Amino acid sequence: MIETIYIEKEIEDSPKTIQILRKFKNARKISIDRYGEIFNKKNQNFRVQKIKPNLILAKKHKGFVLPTPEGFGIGDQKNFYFSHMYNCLYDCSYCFLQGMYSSANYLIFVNFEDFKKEIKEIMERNFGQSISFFSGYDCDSVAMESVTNFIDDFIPIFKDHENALIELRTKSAQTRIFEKLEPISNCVIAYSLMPEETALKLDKKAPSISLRIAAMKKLSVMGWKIGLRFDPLIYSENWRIKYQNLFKEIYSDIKEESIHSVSLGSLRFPKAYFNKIFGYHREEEVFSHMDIKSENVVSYDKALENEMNTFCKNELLKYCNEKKVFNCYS
Amino acid sequence: MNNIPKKDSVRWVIALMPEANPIIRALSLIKIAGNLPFPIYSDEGREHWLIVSGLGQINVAAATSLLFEKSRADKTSVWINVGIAGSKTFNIGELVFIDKVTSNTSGKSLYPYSIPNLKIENRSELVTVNNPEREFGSEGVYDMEGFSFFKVTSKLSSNELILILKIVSDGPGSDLSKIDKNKISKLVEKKIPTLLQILPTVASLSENLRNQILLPKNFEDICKVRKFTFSQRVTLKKLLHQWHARKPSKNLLKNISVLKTSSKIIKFMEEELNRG
Repeated sequence: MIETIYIEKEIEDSPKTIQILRKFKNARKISIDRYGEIFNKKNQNFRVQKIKPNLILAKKHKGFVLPTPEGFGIGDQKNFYFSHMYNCLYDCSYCFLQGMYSSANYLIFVNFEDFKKEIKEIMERNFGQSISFFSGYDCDSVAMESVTNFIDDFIPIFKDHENALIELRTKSAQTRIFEKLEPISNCVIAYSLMPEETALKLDKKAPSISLRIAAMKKLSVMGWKIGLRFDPLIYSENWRIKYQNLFKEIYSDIKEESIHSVSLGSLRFPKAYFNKIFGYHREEEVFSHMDIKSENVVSYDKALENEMNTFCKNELLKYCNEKKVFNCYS
Repeated sequence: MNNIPKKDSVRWVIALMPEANPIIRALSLIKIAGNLPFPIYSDEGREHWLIVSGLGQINVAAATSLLFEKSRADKTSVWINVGIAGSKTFNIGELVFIDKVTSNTSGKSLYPYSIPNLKIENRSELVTVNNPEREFGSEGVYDMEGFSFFKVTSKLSSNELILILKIVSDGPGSDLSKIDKNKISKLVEKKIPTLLQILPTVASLSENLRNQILLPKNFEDICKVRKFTFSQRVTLKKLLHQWHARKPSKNLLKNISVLKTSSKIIKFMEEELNRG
């Protein structure tokens, strides 16, 4: 349960703020001017705050929707991402947010209308082209739904714009919100996946892989499109067998036609992020196989990286069409 | 040199001697000898340090900086400011954890970390003023040091380790001349059990931070018996992290005891790790 909520004065009376605060009646509420006064300040510590994160409600003023980095996409002509929230309920050892922020508090931008307005403008500017909007890179798109009502709020705009696709990246096994909505073909619920044994070690506080697969199965039967995200691919002993078994399990439970896309990417970090994350998890085996690859990137040895990508891709092609498989570049 | 910070490294910054006395007694602190501008106390194990700053923001800033230097505090040291305060919101004698502190002169606010699971029921904003407050215009608590204390300590330590705790001594209509040394000490004395009770919680946060900067296991033992150059020490640290992550059950010290040079140790570790 959240103990403390910081609220920007400017949005104290916004309907979304009121809606969220209703769910935390016993929390202490502290009024602030700007979220930067408490989020990501120097001399804060992500790991200490992660013990029990607080909540910050704020207004985002610019940069609601941004182009994705080059090489990132799942087949559409143009790709954008947006973050209505920073930080996540889960505590995955390799999560890059630990390297990016010094604060683990959950930060929700409550001015959803501004995000939606910019999404619609981009849709209109790019009429006739295929575009993807990615959500869930600075947070988990689904895990905090009971607090944010994000999906409930955003899905309707995509219902009316079939040329635009929204990807909701998640590790949540919650399906309730999607059960309430009518499935649309341009929404991809994309699950981050790795072998169960590896996830048990690394994806702390997140639902197990079997629960994620069960959720995927349930949603696919309901008609929702599913994304499979093996990004990052994690090296461990017997990784080939583990990934083979994982792919087999997924495709035995979920029909290929329900799967919109599959993406693969190796474990990689900007050097500055890696140094911070490594400081937090020094004895975690996953980082002991990584090294500085170039001036700014830390990743596995190139040969191992290629081997993992090639092996996993070839294994996946036993189950799905090559057109559905995408590589995320380092 | 061993830079590993001490366990339970706590720095107390207290404005008045009558506020400090109950804490000095509870922690068995002894005055540090020397000609110092502010009296400093410490325990035998040099884990708890206390400085008496005097009233006001300038005094507390100067005293805090002095204590940082004299006690060789670091980023993992816990800093606690305890003192009496005025309030119209809380009753006299109540202990209040401060999670927002505002300077009455600049209007600027700072936000001490809202430490979870702390067994203190009252949480509030603190307004730091330059003269004793009599009107109590805002809800919350009034003091004369908190803002400056937090501003300085947040540059010296991790923000999660800085606490401001106030004990309400007066409110609207209180006769300040009747708040004597005895009364102040009694107010603090009554809260000593609570203060001692919260120490393990903040110590565990400090320990969490210390673990993030610790040298890898065996690093110092190995460096003691063989001479490593600077760059070899960097390599050794990296290899030790990998070793303990991948081969936690393998006795490294036993394996390398026969190796006579630092280069041979590094080579052995690299080969073993490459072997998988």
